Amino acid sequence: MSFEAAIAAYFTARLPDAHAVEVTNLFRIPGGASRETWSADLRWLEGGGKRRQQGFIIRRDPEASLVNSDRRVEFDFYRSFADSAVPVPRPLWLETEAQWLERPFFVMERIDGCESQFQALLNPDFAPHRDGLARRMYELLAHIATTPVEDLPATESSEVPAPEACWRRELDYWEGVIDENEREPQPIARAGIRWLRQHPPAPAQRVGVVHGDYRTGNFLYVGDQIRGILDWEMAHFGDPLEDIAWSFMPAWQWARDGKAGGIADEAEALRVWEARSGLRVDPAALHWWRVFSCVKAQGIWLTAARQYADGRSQELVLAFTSYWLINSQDRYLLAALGKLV
Amino acid sequence: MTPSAPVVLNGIARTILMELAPQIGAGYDGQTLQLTGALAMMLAQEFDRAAARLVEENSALEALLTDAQTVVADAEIAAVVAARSTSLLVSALHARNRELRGALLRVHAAVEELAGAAARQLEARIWSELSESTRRRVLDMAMPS
Repeated sequence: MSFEAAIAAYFTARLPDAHAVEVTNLFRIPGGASRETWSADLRWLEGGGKRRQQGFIIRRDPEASLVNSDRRVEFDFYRSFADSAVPVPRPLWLETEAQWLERPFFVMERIDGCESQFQALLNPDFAPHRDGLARRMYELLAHIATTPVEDLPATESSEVPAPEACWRRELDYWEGVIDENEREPQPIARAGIRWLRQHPPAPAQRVGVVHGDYRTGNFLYVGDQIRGILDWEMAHFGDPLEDIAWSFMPAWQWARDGKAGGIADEAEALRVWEARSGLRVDPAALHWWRVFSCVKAQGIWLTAARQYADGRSQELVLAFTSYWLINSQDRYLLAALGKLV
Repeated sequence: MTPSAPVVLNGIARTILMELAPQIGAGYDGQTLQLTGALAMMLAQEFDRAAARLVEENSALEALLTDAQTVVADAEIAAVVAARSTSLLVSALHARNRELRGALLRVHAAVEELAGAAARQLEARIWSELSESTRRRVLDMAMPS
Protein backbone atom coordinates (compact mmCIF):
# COMPACT_ATOMS: atom_id res chain seq x y z
CA MET A 1 0.00 0.00 0.00
CA SER A 2 1.35 3.45 -0.88
CA PHE A 3 1.86 6.03 1.85
CA GLU A 4 -1.05 8.08 0.46
CA ALA A 5 -3.31 5.04 0.53
CA ALA A 6 -2.27 4.21 4.08
CA ILE A 7 -3.06 7.76 5.16
CA ALA A 8 -6.42 7.64 3.40
CA ALA A 9 -7.26 4.36 5.15
CA TYR A 10 -6.30 5.83 8.49
CA PHE A 11 -8.39 8.97 8.08
CA THR A 12 -11.32 6.92 6.82
CA ALA A 13 -11.22 5.10 10.13
CA ARG A 14 -10.64 8.20 12.23
CA LEU A 15 -12.81 10.92 10.72
CA PRO A 16 -16.41 10.53 11.85
CA ASP A 17 -18.73 9.19 9.18
CA ALA A 18 -16.17 9.75 6.41
CA HIS A 19 -15.90 7.97 3.09
CA ALA A 20 -14.33 8.58 -0.32
CA VAL A 21 -11.28 10.01 1.46
CA GLU A 22 -8.69 11.46 -0.94
CA VAL A 23 -5.17 12.49 -0.04
CA THR A 24 -3.49 15.17 -2.14
CA ASN A 25 -0.43 17.41 -1.85
CA LEU A 26 1.32 14.98 0.44
CA PHE A 27 4.85 16.14 1.11
CA ARG A 28 7.47 15.96 3.80
CA ILE A 29 8.31 19.26 5.49
CA PRO A 30 12.05 19.96 5.77
CA GLY A 31 13.59 20.32 9.20
CA GLY A 32 12.08 18.68 12.23
CA ALA A 33 14.82 16.07 12.38
CA SER A 34 13.43 14.58 15.58
CA ARG A 35 10.29 13.37 13.78
CA GLU A 36 9.21 13.12 10.18
CA THR A 37 6.71 15.90 9.57
CA TRP A 38 4.27 15.36 6.71
CA SER A 39 1.68 17.75 5.33
CA ALA A 40 -1.42 16.45 3.55
CA ASP A 41 -4.61 17.88 2.12
CA LEU A 42 -7.63 15.65 2.66
CA ARG A 43 -11.01 15.68 0.93
CA TRP A 44 -13.82 13.42 2.01
CA LEU A 45 -17.57 12.95 1.95
CA GLU A 46 -19.64 12.90 5.10
CA GLY A 47 -22.76 10.82 5.60
CA GLY A 48 -25.16 13.35 4.10
CA GLY A 49 -23.00 13.68 1.03
CA LYS A 50 -21.41 16.89 2.24
CA ARG A 51 -17.92 17.42 0.80
CA ARG A 52 -15.26 18.37 3.38
CA GLN A 53 -11.61 19.27 3.03
CA GLN A 54 -8.88 20.15 5.50
CA GLY A 55 -5.11 20.23 5.86
CA PHE A 56 -3.40 18.01 8.40
CA ILE A 57 0.08 17.52 9.81
CA ILE A 58 1.38 14.06 10.61
CA ARG A 59 4.33 13.75 12.97
CA ARG A 60 5.71 10.25 12.48
CA ASP A 61 8.48 8.63 14.49
CA PRO A 62 11.68 8.40 12.46
CA GLU A 63 13.79 5.29 12.03
CA ALA A 64 16.41 7.19 14.04
CA SER A 65 16.58 10.73 15.30
CA LEU A 66 18.82 13.36 16.82
CA VAL A 67 16.38 13.64 19.72
CA ASN A 68 15.05 10.54 21.39
CA SER A 69 11.80 11.91 22.67
CA ASP A 70 8.50 10.46 23.76
CA ARG A 71 5.73 11.22 21.29
CA ARG A 72 3.13 11.10 24.06
CA VAL A 73 4.94 13.82 25.97
CA GLU A 74 5.02 16.02 22.89
CA PHE A 75 1.35 15.32 22.15
CA ASP A 76 0.36 16.13 25.73
CA PHE A 77 2.14 19.48 25.64
CA TYR A 78 0.26 20.34 22.45
CA ARG A 79 -2.92 19.34 24.27
CA SER A 80 -1.90 21.56 27.16
CA PHE A 81 -1.92 24.68 25.03
CA ALA A 82 -4.75 23.89 22.58
CA ASP A 83 -7.31 26.73 22.65
CA SER A 84 -5.10 28.81 24.93
CA ALA A 85 -3.41 32.18 24.50
CA VAL A 86 -0.32 30.28 23.36
CA PRO A 87 -1.04 29.37 19.74
CA VAL A 88 -0.39 25.77 18.77
CA PRO A 89 -1.78 23.49 16.08
CA ARG A 90 -4.72 21.57 17.51
CA PRO A 91 -3.65 18.00 18.30
CA LEU A 92 -6.14 15.37 17.17
CA TRP A 93 -5.01 11.77 17.53
CA LEU A 94 -2.03 9.94 18.94
CA GLU A 95 -1.27 6.51 17.50
CA THR A 96 1.25 4.49 19.45
CA GLU A 97 1.01 1.35 17.33
CA ALA A 98 2.65 0.75 13.95
CA GLN A 99 -0.44 -0.68 12.28
CA TRP A 100 -1.36 2.40 10.23
CA LEU A 101 1.85 4.05 9.01
CA GLU A 102 4.50 1.49 9.97
CA ARG A 103 5.64 3.63 12.89
CA PRO A 104 3.84 5.54 15.67
CA PHE A 105 2.67 9.06 14.88
CA PHE A 106 0.26 11.79 15.86
CA VAL A 107 -1.96 14.06 13.84
CA MET A 108 -2.59 17.78 14.18
CA GLU A 109 -4.62 20.33 12.32
CA ARG A 110 -2.49 22.34 9.91
CA ILE A 111 -2.14 26.09 10.30
CA ASP A 112 -2.01 27.55 6.80
CA GLY A 113 -0.64 30.76 5.36
CA CYS A 114 2.41 31.12 7.58
CA GLU A 115 6.16 31.18 7.26
CA SER A 116 8.33 29.02 9.48
CA GLN A 117 11.82 29.02 8.01
CA PHE A 118 14.30 31.21 9.87
CA GLN A 119 15.96 32.19 6.59
CA ALA A 120 12.99 34.36 5.73
CA LEU A 121 13.64 36.42 8.86
CA LEU A 122 16.94 37.54 7.39
CA ASN A 123 15.38 38.82 4.17
CA PRO A 124 15.70 42.63 4.03
CA ASP A 125 11.99 42.83 3.23
CA PHE A 126 11.26 41.33 6.64
CA ALA A 127 13.29 43.93 8.55
CA PRO A 128 10.27 46.10 9.55
CA HIS A 129 8.72 43.12 11.36
CA ARG A 130 11.74 41.85 13.31
CA ASP A 131 11.36 43.95 16.45
CA GLY A 132 7.66 43.23 16.73
CA LEU A 133 8.15 39.52 16.15
CA ALA A 134 10.91 39.42 18.75
CA ARG A 135 8.65 41.15 21.27
CA ARG A 136 5.84 38.68 20.57
CA MET A 137 8.27 35.75 20.84
CA TYR A 138 9.23 36.69 24.40
CA GLU A 139 5.71 37.71 25.42
CA LEU A 140 4.54 34.23 24.48
CA LEU A 141 7.49 32.65 26.24
CA ALA A 142 6.51 34.53 29.39
CA HIS A 143 2.98 33.20 28.96
CA ILE A 144 4.26 29.65 28.61
CA ALA A 145 6.43 30.08 31.70
CA THR A 146 3.61 31.39 33.88
CA THR A 147 0.87 29.02 32.77
CA PRO A 148 -0.27 27.16 35.91
CA VAL A 149 0.92 23.61 35.57
CA GLU A 150 -1.35 21.75 37.98
CA ASP A 151 -4.18 20.85 35.64
CA LEU A 152 -2.33 20.67 32.35
CA PRO A 153 -2.71 17.45 30.33
CA ALA A 154 1.09 17.32 30.19
CA THR A 155 1.15 16.36 33.86
CA GLU A 156 -0.28 12.98 32.76
CA SER A 157 3.03 12.09 31.12
CA SER A 158 5.62 14.44 32.65
CA GLU A 159 6.67 14.90 36.26
CA VAL A 160 6.77 18.32 37.86
CA PRO A 161 10.10 18.66 39.68
CA ALA A 162 10.74 20.66 42.83
CA PRO A 163 12.26 24.12 42.17
CA GLU A 164 15.65 23.10 43.54
CA ALA A 165 15.70 19.90 41.45
CA CYS A 166 15.20 21.43 37.99
CA TRP A 167 18.82 21.99 37.09
CA ARG A 168 20.10 18.65 38.29
CA ARG A 169 17.40 16.67 36.54
CA GLU A 170 18.13 18.28 33.19
CA LEU A 171 21.89 18.05 33.60
CA ASP A 172 21.70 14.39 34.63
CA TYR A 173 19.56 13.61 31.62
CA TRP A 174 21.77 15.34 29.06
CA GLU A 175 24.98 14.04 30.57
CA GLY A 176 23.44 10.59 30.13
CA VAL A 177 22.71 11.37 26.48
CA ILE A 178 26.37 12.27 25.96
CA ASP A 179 27.49 9.13 27.84
CA GLU A 180 25.36 7.04 25.54
CA ASN A 181 26.18 8.67 22.23
CA GLU A 182 29.72 10.02 22.23
CA ARG A 183 31.95 8.11 19.83
CA GLU A 184 35.13 9.70 21.10
CA PRO A 185 36.16 11.64 24.22
CA GLN A 186 34.53 15.05 24.58
CA PRO A 187 36.94 17.01 26.79
CA ILE A 188 35.16 20.34 26.28
CA ALA A 189 31.65 19.08 26.97
CA ARG A 190 32.93 17.17 30.02
CA ALA A 191 34.66 20.29 31.33
CA GLY A 192 31.36 22.12 30.86
CA ILE A 193 29.49 19.46 32.80
CA ARG A 194 32.01 19.65 35.66
CA TRP A 195 31.62 23.44 35.75
CA LEU A 196 27.83 23.11 35.83
CA ARG A 197 27.96 20.73 38.79
CA GLN A 198 30.39 22.98 40.63
CA HIS A 199 28.27 26.13 40.13
CA PRO A 200 24.60 25.14 40.53
CA PRO A 201 22.02 27.88 39.96
CA ALA A 202 19.55 29.17 42.51
CA PRO A 203 16.31 27.16 42.67
CA ALA A 204 13.78 28.05 39.99
CA GLN A 205 11.56 31.01 40.98
CA ARG A 206 8.65 28.97 39.74
CA VAL A 207 8.36 25.64 38.04
CA GLY A 208 6.67 26.08 34.69
CA VAL A 209 6.39 24.64 31.24
CA VAL A 210 9.72 24.62 29.42
CA HIS A 211 9.29 24.27 25.67
CA GLY A 212 12.78 22.85 25.37
CA ASP A 213 13.54 24.10 21.84
CA TYR A 214 12.17 27.65 21.86
CA ARG A 215 13.80 29.56 19.03
CA THR A 216 13.16 31.09 15.65
CA GLY A 217 12.56 28.32 13.17
CA ASN A 218 10.22 26.54 15.57
CA PHE A 219 7.16 28.72 15.23
CA LEU A 220 4.81 29.78 12.45
CA TYR A 221 4.59 33.51 11.83
CA VAL A 222 3.06 36.12 9.60
CA GLY A 223 4.75 39.51 9.83
CA ASP A 224 5.17 40.18 13.54
CA GLN A 225 2.45 37.74 14.58
CA ILE A 226 3.10 34.20 15.81
CA ARG A 227 0.35 31.81 14.74
CA GLY A 228 1.68 28.50 16.03
CA ILE A 229 4.46 27.31 18.31
CA LEU A 230 5.82 23.98 17.11
CA ASP A 231 8.30 21.24 17.97
CA TRP A 232 7.46 20.48 21.60
CA GLU A 233 9.38 17.19 21.53
CA MET A 234 11.75 18.30 24.29
CA ALA A 235 9.10 20.02 26.43
CA HIS A 236 9.10 19.37 30.15
CA PHE A 237 8.40 21.09 33.45
CA GLY A 238 11.31 23.03 34.88
CA ASP A 239 13.01 26.37 35.32
CA PRO A 240 11.68 28.88 32.76
CA LEU A 241 15.13 30.46 32.48
CA GLU A 242 16.13 27.35 30.54
CA ASP A 243 14.03 28.43 27.55
CA ILE A 244 15.42 31.96 27.59
CA ALA A 245 19.01 30.74 27.63
CA TRP A 246 18.31 28.22 24.86
CA SER A 247 16.74 30.90 22.66
CA PHE A 248 19.86 33.07 23.12
CA MET A 249 22.30 30.37 22.04
CA PRO A 250 24.83 31.50 19.40
CA ALA A 251 23.88 28.55 17.18
CA TRP A 252 20.59 30.32 16.46
CA GLN A 253 22.14 33.76 15.88
CA TRP A 254 21.51 33.22 12.21
CA ALA A 255 22.80 36.61 11.08
CA ARG A 256 25.92 36.34 13.29
CA ASP A 257 25.15 39.82 14.59
CA GLY A 258 24.51 38.89 18.22
CA LYS A 259 20.73 38.98 17.78
CA ALA A 260 19.01 36.00 19.36
CA GLY A 261 17.36 33.93 16.66
CA GLY A 262 18.40 36.57 14.14
CA ILE A 263 15.82 39.05 15.45
CA ALA A 264 16.02 39.76 19.19
CA ASP A 265 18.21 42.05 21.22
CA GLU A 266 18.87 40.09 24.41
CA ALA A 267 18.43 42.97 26.85
CA GLU A 268 15.11 43.94 25.27
CA ALA A 269 13.97 40.30 25.22
CA LEU A 270 14.69 40.00 28.94
CA ARG A 271 12.85 43.26 29.63
CA VAL A 272 9.78 42.04 27.73
CA TRP A 273 9.87 38.62 29.41
CA GLU A 274 10.24 40.05 32.93
CA ALA A 275 7.48 42.62 32.38
CA ARG A 276 5.06 40.03 31.02
CA SER A 277 5.89 37.19 33.41
CA GLY A 278 6.38 39.13 36.63
CA LEU A 279 9.46 36.99 37.19
CA ARG A 280 13.02 38.20 37.52
CA VAL A 281 15.95 36.92 35.51
CA ASP A 282 18.84 36.17 37.85
CA PRO A 283 21.96 36.85 35.72
CA ALA A 284 23.98 34.11 37.42
CA ALA A 285 21.23 31.55 36.90
CA LEU A 286 20.77 32.63 33.29
CA HIS A 287 24.49 32.18 32.74
CA TRP A 288 24.29 28.68 34.20
CA TRP A 289 21.47 27.84 31.78
CA ARG A 290 23.49 29.30 28.88
CA VAL A 291 26.35 26.92 29.66
CA PHE A 292 23.85 24.12 30.13
CA SER A 293 22.28 24.88 26.74
CA CYS A 294 25.65 24.34 25.08
CA VAL A 295 25.99 20.96 26.80
CA LYS A 296 22.44 19.96 25.89
CA ALA A 297 22.90 20.99 22.26
CA GLN A 298 26.12 18.99 22.12
CA GLY A 299 24.18 16.00 23.40
CA ILE A 300 21.80 16.43 20.46
CA TRP A 301 24.57 16.79 17.87
CA LEU A 302 26.45 13.77 19.26
CA THR A 303 23.25 11.75 19.07
CA ALA A 304 22.90 12.73 15.42
CA ALA A 305 26.48 11.69 14.71
CA ARG A 306 25.95 8.38 16.46
CA GLN A 307 22.76 7.57 14.59
CA TYR A 308 24.37 8.19 11.23
CA ALA A 309 27.69 6.55 12.02
CA ASP A 310 26.00 3.44 13.34
CA GLY A 311 23.85 3.19 10.22
CA ARG A 312 20.60 3.62 12.11
CA SER A 313 19.64 6.45 9.79
CA GLN A 314 20.60 7.60 6.32
CA GLU A 315 19.22 11.12 6.91
CA LEU A 316 21.93 13.44 5.60
CA VAL A 317 20.93 16.14 8.05
CA LEU A 318 22.44 13.95 10.75
CA ALA A 319 25.79 13.72 8.94
CA PHE A 320 25.72 17.44 8.23
CA THR A 321 25.02 18.12 11.88
CA SER A 322 28.03 16.03 12.87
CA TYR A 323 30.45 17.87 10.63
CA TRP A 324 29.11 21.37 11.09
CA LEU A 325 27.74 21.65 14.60
CA ILE A 326 29.80 19.53 17.00
CA ASN A 327 32.90 21.70 16.70
CA SER A 328 30.87 24.91 16.53
CA GLN A 329 29.11 23.89 19.73
CA ASP A 330 32.43 23.25 21.44
CA ARG A 331 33.44 26.80 20.53
CA TYR A 332 30.17 28.22 21.87
CA LEU A 333 30.70 26.32 25.12
CA LEU A 334 34.28 27.55 25.45
CA ALA A 335 33.03 31.10 24.87
CA ALA A 336 30.31 30.68 27.51
CA LEU A 337 32.96 29.51 29.96
CA GLY A 338 35.23 32.43 29.04
CA LYS A 339 37.86 30.07 27.67
CA LEU A 340 37.75 30.65 23.92
CA VAL A 341 41.05 32.21 22.87
CA MET B 1 46.63 14.48 -13.90
CA THR B 2 43.81 12.82 -12.04
CA PRO B 3 41.81 15.47 -10.19
CA SER B 4 42.37 15.26 -6.44
CA ALA B 5 39.56 14.23 -4.13
CA PRO B 6 39.02 17.81 -2.85
CA VAL B 7 38.79 19.11 -6.41
CA VAL B 8 36.18 16.49 -7.29
CA LEU B 9 34.24 16.97 -4.07
CA ASN B 10 34.17 20.74 -4.56
CA GLY B 11 33.02 20.17 -8.11
CA ILE B 12 30.20 18.00 -6.83
CA ALA B 13 29.28 20.72 -4.33
CA ARG B 14 29.19 23.44 -7.00
CA THR B 15 27.06 21.31 -9.32
CA ILE B 16 24.60 20.48 -6.58
CA LEU B 17 24.37 23.90 -4.96
CA MET B 18 24.45 26.09 -8.07
CA GLU B 19 22.82 23.94 -10.75
CA LEU B 20 20.63 21.25 -9.24
CA ALA B 21 19.32 22.57 -5.93
CA PRO B 22 17.85 25.78 -7.40
CA GLN B 23 15.73 23.65 -9.73
CA ILE B 24 14.33 21.53 -6.91
CA GLY B 25 13.03 24.27 -4.62
CA ALA B 26 12.92 24.72 -0.87
CA GLY B 27 11.07 21.56 0.17
CA TYR B 28 12.43 18.43 1.78
CA ASP B 29 14.11 17.24 -1.45
CA GLY B 30 15.70 20.63 -2.05
CA GLN B 31 16.95 20.87 1.51
CA THR B 32 18.43 17.39 1.30
CA LEU B 33 20.21 18.34 -1.90
CA GLN B 34 21.61 21.49 -0.31
CA LEU B 35 22.85 19.47 2.65
CA THR B 36 24.51 17.05 0.25
CA GLY B 37 26.34 19.89 -1.46
CA ALA B 38 27.40 21.45 1.83
CA LEU B 39 28.63 18.07 3.06
CA ALA B 40 30.71 17.62 -0.07
CA MET B 41 32.37 20.98 0.62
CA MET B 42 33.14 20.00 4.19
CA LEU B 43 34.47 16.60 3.21
CA ALA B 44 36.74 18.23 0.62
CA GLN B 45 38.36 20.33 3.34
CA GLU B 46 38.58 17.47 5.79
CA PHE B 47 40.07 15.13 3.19
CA ASP B 48 42.85 17.58 2.47
CA ARG B 49 43.72 18.60 6.01
CA ALA B 50 42.84 15.61 8.21
CA ALA B 51 46.31 14.06 8.41
CA ALA B 52 48.07 17.39 8.98
CA ARG B 53 45.56 18.43 11.63
CA LEU B 54 45.78 15.15 13.48
CA VAL B 55 49.57 14.96 13.38
CA GLU B 56 49.80 18.54 14.70
CA GLU B 57 47.24 17.94 17.43
CA ASN B 58 48.59 14.56 18.50
CA SER B 59 52.05 16.05 18.79
CA ALA B 60 50.76 18.97 20.88
CA LEU B 61 48.83 16.59 23.13
CA GLU B 62 51.81 14.27 23.59
CA ALA B 63 53.95 17.25 24.66
CA LEU B 64 51.28 18.57 27.01
CA LEU B 65 50.62 15.19 28.61
CA THR B 66 54.33 14.54 29.02
CA ASP B 67 54.72 17.80 30.92
CA ALA B 68 51.50 17.17 32.87
CA GLN B 69 52.99 14.14 34.57
CA THR B 70 55.00 16.40 36.89
CA VAL B 71 51.67 17.73 38.23
CA VAL B 72 49.27 14.82 37.86
CA ALA B 73 50.74 11.40 38.61
CA ASP B 74 48.67 8.82 36.76
CA ALA B 75 50.03 5.53 35.46
CA GLU B 76 47.27 5.21 32.87
CA ILE B 77 48.15 8.57 31.37
CA ALA B 78 51.84 7.71 31.41
CA ALA B 79 51.05 4.56 29.46
CA VAL B 80 49.06 6.51 26.87
CA VAL B 81 51.90 8.97 26.40
CA ALA B 82 54.48 6.20 26.15
CA ALA B 83 52.55 4.43 23.41
CA ARG B 84 53.52 5.70 19.98
CA SER B 85 52.02 5.15 16.58
CA THR B 86 53.94 5.51 13.35
CA SER B 87 51.08 4.95 10.95
CA LEU B 88 49.96 7.95 8.93
CA LEU B 89 46.65 6.39 7.98
CA VAL B 90 43.96 8.88 8.96
CA SER B 91 42.11 6.11 10.77
CA ALA B 92 45.23 5.37 12.86
CA LEU B 93 45.79 9.05 13.56
CA HIS B 94 42.16 9.34 14.66
CA ALA B 95 42.55 6.37 16.97
CA ARG B 96 45.66 7.93 18.53
CA ASN B 97 43.81 11.25 18.84
CA ARG B 98 40.98 9.55 20.74
CA GLU B 99 43.47 8.04 23.18
CA LEU B 100 45.21 11.34 23.73
CA ARG B 101 42.04 13.41 24.11
CA GLY B 102 40.74 10.85 26.57
CA ALA B 103 43.92 11.26 28.58
CA LEU B 104 43.66 15.03 28.34
CA LEU B 105 40.11 14.87 29.70
CA ARG B 106 41.34 12.79 32.61
CA VAL B 107 44.23 15.15 33.39
CA HIS B 108 41.92 18.17 33.14
CA ALA B 109 39.46 16.74 35.66
CA ALA B 110 42.32 15.81 38.00
CA VAL B 111 44.15 19.11 37.86
CA GLU B 112 40.97 21.06 38.66
CA GLU B 113 41.06 19.41 42.06
CA LEU B 114 44.66 20.38 42.78
CA ALA B 115 45.90 23.57 44.43
CA GLY B 116 49.04 25.50 43.56
CA ALA B 117 50.57 27.53 40.80
CA ALA B 118 51.76 24.53 38.79
CA ALA B 119 48.24 23.14 38.71
CA ARG B 120 46.81 26.47 37.58
CA GLN B 121 49.45 26.78 34.87
CA LEU B 122 48.68 23.30 33.60
CA GLU B 123 44.97 24.02 33.68
CA ALA B 124 45.48 27.19 31.65
CA ARG B 125 47.56 25.25 29.14
CA ILE B 126 44.82 22.64 28.80
CA TRP B 127 42.18 25.30 28.15
CA SER B 128 44.47 26.85 25.58
CA GLU B 129 44.91 23.51 23.83
CA LEU B 130 41.16 22.85 23.89
CA SER B 131 40.52 26.23 22.32
CA GLU B 132 43.19 25.56 19.71
CA SER B 133 41.68 22.16 18.99
CA THR B 134 38.43 23.83 17.95
CA ARG B 135 40.27 26.32 15.75
CA ARG B 136 41.91 23.40 13.95
CA ARG B 137 38.49 21.94 13.20
CA VAL B 138 36.77 25.07 11.89
CA LEU B 139 35.35 24.55 8.41
CA ASP B 140 35.10 27.26 5.78
CA MET B 141 31.65 27.25 4.24
CA ALA B 142 32.36 29.79 1.51
CA MET B 143 31.56 28.44 -1.93
CA PRO B 144 34.76 27.07 -3.52
CA SER B 145 35.89 28.86 -6.69
